[in-house]
Amino acid sequence: MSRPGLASDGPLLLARYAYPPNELGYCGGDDHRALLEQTSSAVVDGGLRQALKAFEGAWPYLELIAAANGLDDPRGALPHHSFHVLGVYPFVGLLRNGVATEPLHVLDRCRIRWGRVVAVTGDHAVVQSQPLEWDGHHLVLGAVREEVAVTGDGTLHLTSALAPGDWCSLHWDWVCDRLEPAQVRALRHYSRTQLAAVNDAPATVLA
Amino acid sequence: MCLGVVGQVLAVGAPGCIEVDAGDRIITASLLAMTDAVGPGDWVLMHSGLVLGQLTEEEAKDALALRNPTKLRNPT
Repeated sequence: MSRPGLASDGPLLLARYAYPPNELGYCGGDDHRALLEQTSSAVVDGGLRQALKAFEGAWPYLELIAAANGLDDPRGALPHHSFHVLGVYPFVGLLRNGVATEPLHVLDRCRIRWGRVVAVTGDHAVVQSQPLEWDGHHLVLGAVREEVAVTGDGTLHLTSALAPGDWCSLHWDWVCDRLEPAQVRALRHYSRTQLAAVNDAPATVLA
Repeated sequence: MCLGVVGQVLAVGAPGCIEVDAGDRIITASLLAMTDAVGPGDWVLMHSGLVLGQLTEEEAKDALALRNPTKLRNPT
């Protein structure tokens, strides 16, 4: 068992972002409450490591990236999720085939997005963020608007306390982490890079 | 990143939605991305709450056996 630190950042980082789709039943094991408790406690132990292995999509992907980068532990691998969401999943193809609303919702919520906290109340925060929009031909970042995101479930949280003005990352309905400005710039850069790649890709590639 | 989930349709639920037995859980999934009708007993592939396609029983059981044999509750 280890407390958060350099050696345990990987598992906790993965857990913070893996929990929201797990809660929705999209991937991972069937005990999402236990995963939230483990993540909120910020203690990396065998239970958390085993729970992360139940993500049967992410796990082999991280193993591959870790091996390619000479890492012993896949939980230390750092993939960019927007590549997978925008370039591998079939939802851009569905958009191009005229099915817009639901695929756009999945693309927007499944990518890791960034936002700035406006207010925090109980288990929710009002966050300014830019939603993905589809103009019939391209995916673009829309105008900044406010959304309400989940920050916790009672005493359980994925990230430390937030305050107005903080930058944060979001995955599905949850705030997953507090971000430093440099992290926001990196997330914005790689998201835009992937959007440009998807928008320029031939229809046959993502159909 | 989540993998697609294979399951067998239990029932047609709310408009445009179905209830699916995904082995270790019951999932409500949207049919908005489907052009073909599906009904109870059909096998489907889902991702992020959307039904993406229909599978034959053989395809579904092959996928389940490959992914995790324990998810196949009633192999025949």
